[in-house]
This record gives sequence, C-alpha cells and structure tokens, in this order.
Amino acid sequence: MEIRKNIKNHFFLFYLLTVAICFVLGYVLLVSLDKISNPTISELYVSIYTVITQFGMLIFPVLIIQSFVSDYKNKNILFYKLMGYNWLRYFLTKIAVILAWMSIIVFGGVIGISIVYQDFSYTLATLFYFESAIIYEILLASMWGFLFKSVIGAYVVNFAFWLFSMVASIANPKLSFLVRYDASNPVFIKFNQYFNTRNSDYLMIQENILYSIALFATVLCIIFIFRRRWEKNGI
Amino acid sequence: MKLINYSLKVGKKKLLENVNISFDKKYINHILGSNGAGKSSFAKTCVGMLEFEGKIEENQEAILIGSSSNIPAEFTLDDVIKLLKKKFEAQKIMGLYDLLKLNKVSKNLQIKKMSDGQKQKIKLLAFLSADPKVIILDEFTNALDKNSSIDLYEFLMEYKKTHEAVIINITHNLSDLEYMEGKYYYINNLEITEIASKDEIVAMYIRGE
Repeated sequence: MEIRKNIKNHFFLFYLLTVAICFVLGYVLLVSLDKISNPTISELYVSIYTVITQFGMLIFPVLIIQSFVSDYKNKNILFYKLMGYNWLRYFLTKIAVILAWMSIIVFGGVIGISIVYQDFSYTLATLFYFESAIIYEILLASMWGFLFKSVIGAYVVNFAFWLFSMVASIANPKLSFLVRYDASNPVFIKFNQYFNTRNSDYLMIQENILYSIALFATVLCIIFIFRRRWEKNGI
Repeated sequence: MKLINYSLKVGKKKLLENVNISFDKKYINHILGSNGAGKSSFAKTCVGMLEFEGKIEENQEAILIGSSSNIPAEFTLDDVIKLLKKKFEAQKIMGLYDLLKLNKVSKNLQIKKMSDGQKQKIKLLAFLSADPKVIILDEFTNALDKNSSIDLYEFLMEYKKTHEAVIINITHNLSDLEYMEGKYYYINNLEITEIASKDEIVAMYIRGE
C-alpha cells in the first residue's frame, strides 16, 4: 500500500531526485570549490559522503517528515487502521519504503561510479557508509515526523537537534555519537584514511551496524512511549 | 451499543456527564445538537481515539466515517478495491460496490479529483467492507448536493435492512431525518436524550434548545 501510495503521489521521485542531487553536488563541489577537474574515485566518494551528511540533513527531513504529516493532515490514519496497520507497522513500513527508494539511487550511483572509474575496490565499503548515514537521517526525521503534526514543527526540532548535537559533540567528544556520520566526527576521518591508505582497518563496519541497531531501538522506544500521538495527530 | 456512566471532557470543558443510554441495531440513530456540544468528540471516543470516563459496551467493531477518516486522495477507486480485496472478502466488497452504484464512478480517476458525493461513497465502500457492528457517521452529508445525499440515504436504508449494525448519524442536516427514518437523540446540557419524534427534535434543534 505504501509503495503504491508513493508512486501515485510522486513522493518516490522526490526521494530519488534528492539522493541523485547529492551525487551530482558531490562532483560539482569538487570541481567548483576545490578546483579538482578530474577527481579520483576516492575524492568523489568522500565529497558525496560529505554532501549526504550535510546537505542531506537539511533536505531529506523535509520529504520524510512530509510523508508522515501528509497522512495526519489528510486524516488517513483511520484508513491505515482499517487496513490492519497499527502505529508500529505504520512506522516500520514508512521507514522501509523511504529507505528502499533512497537506496535505489545510492546503489545505482555508487555502482555507476565504480563502473565509470573501473574500480570496484571501494564499492562495498562506500555503499555501507552511505547507507549507514542515510539510515541515521531517515530514523531521526521519521521519528520527528511521527511525533509532530506540523511539517515546520518537526523540521525545526530535527534541525535544532542536529545543531545541538554538533555543538555538543564539539564541546564534548564523548557526545560525538549524536552526529556519528558528520564530517567533523572520527568516523568520517577514519573513512577518509581508508581511502588514503586502502587499509580496511580504518573501516568501522561492526561499530556502525551496532550504532544503527541501537539508534533504531532508541527511536522505537521513543515512538512506543508516544504511540498514542499517531492516532491523536491523525484525527 | 451502550453507554454506562459515560462522561466526556475535552481539555477543561465538560461535554457529557454520566450518560446512560443505548443505541439499537437496525435503526438509524440520529444525533443532533448545537456546535461544540460534543457530538464529534463523542464519535471519536466510540472508536477509541479519545479518552472518556465510564464504559461503552459493544463498540469493539466500531468505525467512524466522517471528516476525520479519509482515504488517501492519491488513490483511484481501482486502487482502493485492490487494497480492500487483500484484506476483506471480495464478494462483500463487490456487493457494496453495486449497492453504492459505484459503476457510475471512473475507476481510474484519483479520489482527490472526484466530487464530494463520490468521495463519500468510496469511503463507505472501504469502511463498510470490514462489516463493522457499529457505524458512526459524523456529519456525513455535509456539503453534498441533494442528489448525492439522496443516493447515500437510499444506500444506508438498504444497508440497514440487510446488516445487523448499529448506525449512528451525527448531523446538522435536517434532510437526513426527513429521508432516513430512525431514532432521534439530542445532545444538550451535558446529556444525550432520546426524543420521541422527528418533529419534536427538529423543533428543538431549530429553537436551539
């Protein structure tokens, strides 16, 4: 139902387009700002990663939050209930579908770049890092979208949380987990070193998986506590 | 459906207090009352979307059809039928489809582009496919022209004959009472009172008692 809905209201196009813009911007910024006219594959991947974690934090939440709030605004929640959805199935379906749309371009883009450069040595690691960053952004924005009835309210809270987390992680490195994939974070620095050295010891695969699981569990706990808001927001 | 010592408060405002009343099956139970009397909030409590005090019995399979229950407007009638068939009995859905005369509605037009009357019919198709035991219609014929309303009246009168359901119609539209005979209830002074006749409740409503 959610996939059909996304196709009918063209939301899927916006998801595909915004991720594609991240890839394009990653290249354009290298050429225009860094004056690198022939970037290496690692320079390109790092640039795209930076765009996903910076520009993505600004633009993805608008779409993600909108997909929740439009259901509230259009009073669709009783229809979801009729179709057998509860707050949990609703939330999980939404994030799964959003992730699926975004992943199409992530996979297509990374594999496409690998083909163009004839270099597949970074493909899996890059896919994993891009997906991890996107999962982080989807989980956070979806949580705010679920909790708030207004796009502006949810977006402002999401943005404020992001800013606060960045400031907090700079003030106290122990809090860097709040913005794990940000370019100021050790995770990014090590990812960069991986590209410079080709040494996979710099990759933090297990830690990232654990982080995603922990974040997912935390978000689920929060929406479980506020699960009544699903119905309240939707009537 | 039965209300036992039922009280309703929204924010600080008390809307209903210690109401004891039951609504019968196979009747259209019309509820009238002035704006802000608590009609729509009462409807929401019946489907568990708003908290209340006391008890509501036999509302386990209640559905609310009104402005707070819309079908995603990007869907077409064809989409809705396909989705419903995954969840409910196909025979039931097509029976309702015929009874609602939905063959006159384009199957490929998005709901957002349909008339209000067509939207209401599709809403009925969807929500009644679940074969609910309690149907609450909240200002259902608001903003509909006479012909669309009459179509819905005919449908509901026919549906009532063939289904063991409690139908509650919360309305401001006195035509509902004219075209659909039933039982009459008036919300006022924190109470829901059964009124003996249509003429009496219409007079009360017009006088704004």
